[in-house]
Amino acid sequence: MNEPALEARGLTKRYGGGATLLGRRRAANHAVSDVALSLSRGETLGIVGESGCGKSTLARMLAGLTPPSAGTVVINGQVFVGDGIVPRRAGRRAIQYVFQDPNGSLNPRKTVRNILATPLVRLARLDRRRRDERIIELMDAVKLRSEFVDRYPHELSGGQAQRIGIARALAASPDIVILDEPVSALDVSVQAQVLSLLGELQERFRLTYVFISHNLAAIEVVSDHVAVMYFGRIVEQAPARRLFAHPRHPYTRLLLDSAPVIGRKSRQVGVEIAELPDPYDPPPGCAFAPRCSSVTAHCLHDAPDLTRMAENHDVACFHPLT
Amino acid sequence: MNGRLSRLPGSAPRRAAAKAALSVLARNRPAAVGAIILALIVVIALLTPVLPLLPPDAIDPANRLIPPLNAGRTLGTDQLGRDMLARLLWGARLSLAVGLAATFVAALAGSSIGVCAGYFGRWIDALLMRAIDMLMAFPYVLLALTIVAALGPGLFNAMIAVAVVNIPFFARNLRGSTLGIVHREFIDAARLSGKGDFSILVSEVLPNVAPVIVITMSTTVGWMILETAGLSFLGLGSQPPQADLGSMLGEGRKLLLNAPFVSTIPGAVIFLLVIGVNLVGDGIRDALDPRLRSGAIARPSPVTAISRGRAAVDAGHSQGVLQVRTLSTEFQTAGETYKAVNSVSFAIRNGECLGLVGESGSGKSVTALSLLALVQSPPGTITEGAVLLDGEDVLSKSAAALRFIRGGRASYVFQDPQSTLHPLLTIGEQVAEALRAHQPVSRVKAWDKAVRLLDLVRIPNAKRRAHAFPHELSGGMRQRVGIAMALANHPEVLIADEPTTALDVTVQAQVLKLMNELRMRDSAAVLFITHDFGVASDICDRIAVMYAGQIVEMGAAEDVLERPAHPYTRRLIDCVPALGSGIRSFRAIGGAPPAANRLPSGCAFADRCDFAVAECRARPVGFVAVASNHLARCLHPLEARGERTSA
Repeated sequence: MNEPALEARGLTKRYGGGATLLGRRRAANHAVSDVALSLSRGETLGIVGESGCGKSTLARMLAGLTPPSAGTVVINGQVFVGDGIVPRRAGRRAIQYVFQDPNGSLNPRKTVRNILATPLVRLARLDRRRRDERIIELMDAVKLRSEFVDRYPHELSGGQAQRIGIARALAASPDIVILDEPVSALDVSVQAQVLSLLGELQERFRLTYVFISHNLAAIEVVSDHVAVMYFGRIVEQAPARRLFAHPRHPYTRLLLDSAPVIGRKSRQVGVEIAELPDPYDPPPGCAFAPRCSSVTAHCLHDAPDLTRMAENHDVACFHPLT
Repeated sequence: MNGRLSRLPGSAPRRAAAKAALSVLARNRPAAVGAIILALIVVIALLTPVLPLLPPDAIDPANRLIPPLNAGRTLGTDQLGRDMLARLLWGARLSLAVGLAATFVAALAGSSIGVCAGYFGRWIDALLMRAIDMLMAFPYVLLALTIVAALGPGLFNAMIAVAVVNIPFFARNLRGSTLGIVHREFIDAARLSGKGDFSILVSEVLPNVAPVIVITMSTTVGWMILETAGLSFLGLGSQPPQADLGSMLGEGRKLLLNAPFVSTIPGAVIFLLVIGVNLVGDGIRDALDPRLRSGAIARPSPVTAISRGRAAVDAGHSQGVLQVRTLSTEFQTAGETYKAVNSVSFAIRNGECLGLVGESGSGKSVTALSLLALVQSPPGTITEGAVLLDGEDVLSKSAAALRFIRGGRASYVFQDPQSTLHPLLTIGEQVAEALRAHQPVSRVKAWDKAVRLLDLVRIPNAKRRAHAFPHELSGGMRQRVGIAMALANHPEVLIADEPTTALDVTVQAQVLKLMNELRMRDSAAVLFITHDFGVASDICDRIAVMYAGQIVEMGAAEDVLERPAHPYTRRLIDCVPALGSGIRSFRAIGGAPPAANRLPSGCAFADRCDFAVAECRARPVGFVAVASNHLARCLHPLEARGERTSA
């Protein structure tokens, strides 16, 4: 049973591209390029990166919400999406998603009961009585009083709404939950509440998490492994402790140095440019080269592949930090 | 601001919203008049079959063209001696029924097309909307005439023609509102819950666009009644001897000089019917449109309402360029008073940066806006306190004087540069405009200065970029423009409300560095609002922590961050494990802050505090000096500066 719970192979998403009616080639935007991931049951993979790095597109592909342009997603040994396969009910039951905006992910015209019942009817195929029992169980699991089931989303606070979002994801007893910036929209004290809850639920139901965030501190606490994304690619991947202690990619280093930390005044924050390259006209070499302090001619011409530097530590850089 | 406020009043179920919409409708005078007219016509039309009327189609040539109120004929008779009253009532009934039927047909067909086009997108959208465009390419009346000509005259065909002509209105409106919903996350959530397209369309999309359908129906039904009457007038609608309002008008037209009442009476009824429908329709639209729901469109005044008993201004010892004394701001909505800012006092010196840290709803943004009376009124009122800029009370100044201070001696940087920059003006024009609003410089000179400012905030290639529009810049660049505008007139006080919250970490670090350099250069006093202690630690000299509208702790940044005295500060800092600490758990604060309309009389944090005793809840807690220049609003402050204060 050492089969990975979730595996992604060569996942790629292009937008645009193809040719016009007159045969002129249209520019394609590579939102995600050739991403490979693998994680075992009960683990948490943290994906960190800044806006526009493709982490949300990757998350949506993993959950079957956005069809990939190439590559496959394999859940428990079964192909879930890719190779012409579209998500089926069994796969849908196995993988679920928690959205960033707690209020935007709940239909404003439905009660909490109605929202939670949908996956129970559609995915779990429960009858009415079992459904009502399960809704009470779910409310209990996310620590909300059962009186909330007859409320509408606008009557909930951000933290409460996100708990309902989590309950909805857990309704059909999935193995894997994709958490796309699940606490970014919440207040600091509420963030801690929701993250603690997610930790408890993971242990209780042996869930596998893909935790996507731009918040390094949160990523460090929740993740077993961390993948750093830049411009649609994974540039570094390692066990969390190792990555935060010994980052090898200059971008990871920059991220860690930029994060505001109590008691630390800003250090040198690198080159002034913080712009991503034009996605329709990507540079031939490393996408981070224009911002990198250890850039050489080699970096400008060739793009480095993700290479194994040490056990479980992959870096895409010609001049990794030591 | 308003959005955040509206979350405060606990629960407001949907029934209450419907009730509110109804009360808005009832308060709308023209709509009420329209409703009375319409109700009268509808009731009469419904009662027509049971009223003691003469048969409407019975010809009586002997009694033709009897004027109204003669020979027992209330409205007279027409050219064939038919009773006008009977024909009028039956005709109104028919016109109303046909108009409504056309509306429903158009709504059903048009909404289906619009919702499908918006939901499925791609080729389905292209196909459906091009078909709609073709319908719209023909002049309105011509199209209706063509359809009736093709189908043959008759009331049913006229109804079909009118419905078809109106389909595009529904299709285009509904496509637009569906597009706004289709990318919302709850649609994705429904798909993840196992729903198919049809089920999502019916149970997720439709309930959310239903108000748009109702609004479009209520604003087009009058037109459709009129158009049906028009076709009948031309003889293409109802066929003799059957009467509707349009055909009566058409028949009476020839007798306009001899017997004007034959045409003017149905004309007047059409007029009343349509105006009634339109007035009610406008009322429904106003009640359902979220932008108009609050009743009349209230224009906020440019200055916050101020009702202070006596301004506590003693221009004595000056502690800084900006001094805020016992500032209190309240919001009054629906009979409730929300104390957003409750007796806040602080001072900032030249070149100093004070961080105002707190969670959402703690009152930090309202404090910032209150400083220059920028809180929206109604519902906001400044109820107490003074804001001294160089010893002068800002809040007692006139609106014109305030406007000159805003963006001049004191300026703001807001959180979201996307929404604070004008999308249709280049960034150079906007910075130049900020300059020209306060300085008597020529257009050319202002532009030059603007370019220099953009260069100062490190916009690469500022000379060329000054011609760029906000959407052409990244978030970090836009925030730099916001900073350039704020610095344009060398402000003495800079108020930055979460200026880096919307930015990525690497960009945030750069913007913080820039702000730090610029405030040193201009030696401006900075009020920096943030929820992030890490950011506050980076840029602030002193930190004030806000909770439930009050400052609960204030002191030098390193004192507050490393030796917090108030339990709330301690717990809030602990919520986020420090990066690189290797801690694998979170210490959340249980519970939630008290509602701003039900603040306790004692310490607002008592219910969530581990150290709370009865005394904490008994009466308001004042500041305790835990060290020099380190204040905490707590009866049992945590250890500060190593020395334990008595508990």
